[in-house]
Amino acid sequence: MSVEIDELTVHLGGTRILDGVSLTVPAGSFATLLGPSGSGKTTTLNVLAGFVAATSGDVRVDGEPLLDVPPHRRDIGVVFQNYALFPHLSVGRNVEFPLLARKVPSASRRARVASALELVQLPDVTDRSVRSLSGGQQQRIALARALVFEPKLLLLDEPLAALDKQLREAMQLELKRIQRETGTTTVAVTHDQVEALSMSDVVAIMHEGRIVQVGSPEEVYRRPATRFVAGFLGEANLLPVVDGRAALFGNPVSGSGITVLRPEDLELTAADHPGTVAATVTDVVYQGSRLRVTVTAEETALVVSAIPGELAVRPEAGDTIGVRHRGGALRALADA
Amino acid sequence: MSDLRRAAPRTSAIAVALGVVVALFLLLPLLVILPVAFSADSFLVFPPQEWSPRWFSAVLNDPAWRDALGLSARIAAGATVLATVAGTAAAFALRRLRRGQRALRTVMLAPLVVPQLVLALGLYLAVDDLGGRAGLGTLLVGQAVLATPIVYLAVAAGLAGVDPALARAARSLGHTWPSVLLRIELPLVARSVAGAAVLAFGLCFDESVLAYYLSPPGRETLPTRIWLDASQSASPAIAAVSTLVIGLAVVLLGLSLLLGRRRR
Repeated sequence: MSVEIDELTVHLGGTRILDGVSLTVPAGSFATLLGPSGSGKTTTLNVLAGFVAATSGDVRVDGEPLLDVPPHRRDIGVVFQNYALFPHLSVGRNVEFPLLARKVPSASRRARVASALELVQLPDVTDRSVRSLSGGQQQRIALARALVFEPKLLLLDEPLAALDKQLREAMQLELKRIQRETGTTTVAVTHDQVEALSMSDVVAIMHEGRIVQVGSPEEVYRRPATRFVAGFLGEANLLPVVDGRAALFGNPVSGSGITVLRPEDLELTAADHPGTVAATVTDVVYQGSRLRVTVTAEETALVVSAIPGELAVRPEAGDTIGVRHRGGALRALADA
Repeated sequence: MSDLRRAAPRTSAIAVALGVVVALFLLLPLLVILPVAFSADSFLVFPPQEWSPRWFSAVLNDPAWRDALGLSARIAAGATVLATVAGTAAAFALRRLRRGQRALRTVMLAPLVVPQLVLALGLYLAVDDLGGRAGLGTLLVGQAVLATPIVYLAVAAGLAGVDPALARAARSLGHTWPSVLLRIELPLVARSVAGAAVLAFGLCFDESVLAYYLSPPGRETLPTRIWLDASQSASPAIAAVSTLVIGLAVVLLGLSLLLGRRRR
């Protein structure tokens, strides 16, 4: 089911929380609303779920207007940030809960609960208490409960925020697999850019109640539209555009103003290597697979993300060094 | 840190001593009543000269005392049902309010601070104004009014431990609000509600001010009967009845504590 959000505006207590949000999520795709806290991403999700009323605007699911439908008749599966599993019911009863509202006969209920638990790879916990499960398991049960009734739309509210780092990475893949297997159109909310980039087909970056850029993960990362997007998605070197070329490196840039060079687009070479910019190392931070090197070239501070194994010599603060751009098309920011 | 550690035992010793003093102050009158109940004498004398359970059997075999006990129990039961429904409903309703919650909460708790005499008089006049006659029904309603804030407080405390996201989750999963209430929210506070009902019953059972004002002549609840008996005869029967009531109160309090304990 495709979702079209059209000029959605929400005022709460005199404050404008959402300011004309428009987004189209194609059927079967995984869209992520990415933004800092207070950007309106959770409010957008709550409007879709029916927990917050829109002041104006429109949402259509497969062309059908959604906003007049009460939450319990929307057929939307929601996975809450803290999972919101019912503590007095067993795992099986939790997963069965949406089927009870739909008057599914008990034999078929059992079969569907079993296949939903199968889907999240926890087939043997039906009779367990939800309290006896780990955070990662509770997350899977919440997902099974939200998918067991084959919803039109799946909403994930900060789905991985409560998990520790290793589990989070495993669950990212898991979420993506389950989403692909069921083909359920999914809208997730997160403030974690790595999570958004690795799970989504479409990323919508939100800032102060608006969507500032929509695109594939690669598009928004490689070609951010605004200074905010550039900074929010990772470290960014902002360079002025002079006569259609990036300052220092001279790459051609479409548009004028300021352009973005990602730290991994820059390469360190020996000093006075031909075709490089001379720079002075000001700081080196070892990050495991990467070396984060800060240099100053012509009074401009640059961050370079180098692969330690590729460097002949490990740079130290105060060294003179060459920096060059790996090449590729650059685009100027819209708001600079 | 070491200063704190040294100070701690002294603080707790003072707290324990204070606790003992307060407990003695509260319980001493009871310690006088209990032995008197087992007295064989014909008058209230402390300490009793001879011991016997005869006043217990006298009370339990006296129709006047039995009627009073029965009436108290029936009215308290009715008032408990009313108060439990009203207090629980109020706790759920106030939780959903976005604004005005504090103001309404204060109103809910008003029966706890309004003098009971004023409540009794108000009820009497209100019923009279409506063309009725104050009687046992009025008494039942009045006691329910007194007990409602207690139920409200207990259930609101229980609800505070229930994640509001659970109700939203249940809604999003397709359940209407009555179904959410019945399947999710009420079961999660069932123990608080039951504990509150027990407390409400205890409160209504030996409520005396409203009972004295509103019960019609000849229909005495237990506290009224005790009052009348004390002013007329001063026999150890009162002590025996009081001991029974205290026993009931201890059982009810224990039950309420047991119910209020959180499941783990």
